[in-house]
Amino acid sequence: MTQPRFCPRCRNPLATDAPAGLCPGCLFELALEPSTAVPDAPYDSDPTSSAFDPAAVAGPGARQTFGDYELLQEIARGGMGVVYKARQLSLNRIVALKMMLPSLLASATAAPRFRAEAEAAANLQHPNIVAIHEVGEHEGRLYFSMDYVEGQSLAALVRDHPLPAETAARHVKTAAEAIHYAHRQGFLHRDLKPSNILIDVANQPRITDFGLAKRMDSDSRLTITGAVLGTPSYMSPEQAAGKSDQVGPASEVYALGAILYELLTGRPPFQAATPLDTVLLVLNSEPVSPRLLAPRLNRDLETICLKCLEKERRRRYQSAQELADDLDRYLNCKPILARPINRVNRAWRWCRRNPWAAVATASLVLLAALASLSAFTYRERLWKSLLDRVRLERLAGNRAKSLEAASEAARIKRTPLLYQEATQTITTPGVTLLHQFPYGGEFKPMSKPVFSSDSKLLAFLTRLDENGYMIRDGSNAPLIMVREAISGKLLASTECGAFAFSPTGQPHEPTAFPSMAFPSDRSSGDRVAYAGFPLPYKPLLALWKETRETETRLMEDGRSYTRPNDIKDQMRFWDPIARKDVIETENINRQFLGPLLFSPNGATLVKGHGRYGPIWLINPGARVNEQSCIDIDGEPITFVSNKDLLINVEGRIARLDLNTQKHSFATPLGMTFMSVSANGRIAILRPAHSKSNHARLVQYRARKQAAD
Amino acid sequence: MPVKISDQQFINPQLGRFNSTQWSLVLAAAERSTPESENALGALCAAYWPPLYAYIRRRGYEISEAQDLTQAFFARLLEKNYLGDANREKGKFRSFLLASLNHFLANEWDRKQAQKRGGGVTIIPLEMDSAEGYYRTDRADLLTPEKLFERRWALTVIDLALKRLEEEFTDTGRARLFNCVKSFLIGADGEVTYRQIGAELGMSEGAVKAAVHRLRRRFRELMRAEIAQTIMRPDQPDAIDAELRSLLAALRS
Repeated sequence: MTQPRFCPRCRNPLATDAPAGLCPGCLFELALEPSTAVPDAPYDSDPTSSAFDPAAVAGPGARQTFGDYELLQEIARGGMGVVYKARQLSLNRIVALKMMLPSLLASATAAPRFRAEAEAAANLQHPNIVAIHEVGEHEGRLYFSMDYVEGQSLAALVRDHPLPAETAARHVKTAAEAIHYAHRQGFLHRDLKPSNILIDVANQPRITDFGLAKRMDSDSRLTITGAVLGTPSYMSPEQAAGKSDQVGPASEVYALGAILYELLTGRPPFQAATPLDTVLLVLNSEPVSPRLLAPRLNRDLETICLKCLEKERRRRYQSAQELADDLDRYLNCKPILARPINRVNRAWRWCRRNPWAAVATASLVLLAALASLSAFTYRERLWKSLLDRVRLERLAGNRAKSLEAASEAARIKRTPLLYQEATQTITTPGVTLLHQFPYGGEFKPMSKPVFSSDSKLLAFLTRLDENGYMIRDGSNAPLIMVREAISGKLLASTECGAFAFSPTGQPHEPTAFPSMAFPSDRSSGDRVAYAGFPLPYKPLLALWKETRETETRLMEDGRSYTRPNDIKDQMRFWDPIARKDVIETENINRQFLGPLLFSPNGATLVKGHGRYGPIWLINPGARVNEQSCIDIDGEPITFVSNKDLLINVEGRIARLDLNTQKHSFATPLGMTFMSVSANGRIAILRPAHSKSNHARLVQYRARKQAAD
Repeated sequence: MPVKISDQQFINPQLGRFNSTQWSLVLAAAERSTPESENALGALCAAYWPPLYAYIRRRGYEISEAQDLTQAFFARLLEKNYLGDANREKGKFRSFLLASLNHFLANEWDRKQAQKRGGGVTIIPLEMDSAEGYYRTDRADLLTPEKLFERRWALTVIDLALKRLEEEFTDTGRARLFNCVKSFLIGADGEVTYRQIGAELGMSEGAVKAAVHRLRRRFRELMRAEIAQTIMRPDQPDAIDAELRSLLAALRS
């Protein structure tokens, strides 16, 4: 009998002194199997006996086969496929069987990628990389089998609490060596994350799921250009920015650093409510120093971790091996090569990215600097331990206890970090405080903060400046502040009295008013403006500003009086990013302050006032303001279509057709309007002259278009 | 002074080893040894010498020196001088043995003394040639002495369990069956099927399958029993699992 070179079960090389020619590792694993689970020897089962049905696999009595495999248990389900624990009947070995999800079969791109994954991983033979045994197709379904690894993923291990620093460093070191091996073979993993690293029963990490692996030298089009692949929390900035030509070994160093960060602190370096927000954090923010989250963490380990997470590739370790070597030095208590980022340097980098916030927090930094002079006082330590408790209780799901600790900590010292922690506790799970800013007291409906329709900007009216002080420059008009929604960065501010975001963005072609529409357009009710719509969104704000010219006179008693002389109104169409008017505006007829409303297609801007006076229609696409006036006493409420406007006429809802300029009442007499739903179909009314305190919800039937 | 221990114990190391759990017995008697505990320790030493020999060799001793040192170490150990340490550590037999050996090598013995103390005298019938054979196949040059020790230890556990399993089959007149199906402990190699084995042995396919099933279950039991011999709390499955895992780690590293 010739001695096989590899174990048929685990595929590891078989030592020449293996007892009875059997793989010693597998024999140990057999001894470790639960006594009830020592597998039966296989029958020659009939592979055609049952159609594959994933749902039935879980059933205890059901014995499901898939080709040569008996499916024992579903282990995981991912974007590309399902993974089962299975027994390969011909070899009587336990494997992990990954097969493509049925719903993906139809996709033309998914199949090649699935095969690419298997092909990539099958070429990698390394003890810390999960080995691929077989790639195949059965009943039209692609599958491959790989080592079944008994154990838990790092994601599962770190779910409850951070790992001990030594353990974390050792796991990441071993993983880095394996990844370095893959790099030398020309493979990138591209989706490294804690759930892709399994810790086997021998406490060794095994990297799995080379799901997005791609040969570094191939020009494969499998990855859709511009599509971001991978998991944002562990994604390098270059990968998050979609610069796939820059993605290389240094990107995997970043991912390993992010994993190390999570193992040490219990959370990934960047985490936000949505993947997109996470991507923005990856691109724009420095990670919170791990020692803030885990105060007893060794400084060297923090330095290693942060070096991996550098935004610039050249500042990271240049290979996974370099990272492994430095971790090895740390583990052996030798000096590491990485140098900590100088605090001044770090602060400067932050300022460069957040200039405005930097100014706003300058005083805070000063305070922090003063505080650090008296650091390690008793109160300081108490405060830090309270902060730890806020986090730990939150992680343990004890919201009340977490808040209790937060309020205790607040009695000692209030810092943005504490606010952030408390806010996270309140909003847990999945919500992160991005930013806070002075808002002021403008809570009138016209001035509540509004997002632009692409959700990237927000605008609100305020009488407070950036530092939270009242503006006292003599002007009566509040400021509109436009900020980036995610970073909170202030983009622009200017005086105005009312504003509205255009739903479609900047106009590119002149349009006609409904009232000025050509006869042929009247029938459809929609206009033909905005050729090629939708265009790339560029934020456009309609601003209405009231300028009061004042006159100051010195009176006989020696005091001066300022009195309004003239009031002028101006309508502007303003690009808050370029901070300039995109359309020339001119002074318009004197009006009272009232709501500004864009029609859904952005072609018409309606301006009314509180209760009386005409409703003005303004064409934002025109080079010079075109205005027309509908002489009706009513306050615009909302558009229900591009030409139908609901207005509030002395408490009754009327529907105004902008083409015909005729209106019809929709509220029964004796009822007063309170509010309407966004689509204009449901309204809240209350009886005008009744002692009843009941509000009534009414719904309108959709009007027949033919009647228009 | 050579110790007097029944030769019978050492000539057949398997004998009596499953009657009680040996290491816990030694530990229990550490303060005041009993004949049973002496026998138990002797049996353990006789079973687990290959890792020690490999370790000593890897530390740089020549073949003849290593043989003498191994014998001398056991002689010293069986004089009960080290059992105080064992009691103090309350750990696994494996850890105790390695710690004692290090102590022995570092502090007390040079080769001359080893000879005087018992080297050159066969206290335990160690199969030195096979030990040297093992050492040469152990990838010794790739591993640290400690790793090598652990690896050889793990292989010794398997050896003992497999030997025992084979004995059980032989004792019941199924030696041929054992030789035919032992490779199924891990999984078929794909060349031989149950049907073929059944045809060869005059058994039905189902009977072969059942035999394999029993073989695997019994092997598992024997492995765990072997491990139980060397740990302090043999009645705890978790402790057995932990030792199995740590040895598996040594094999896989």
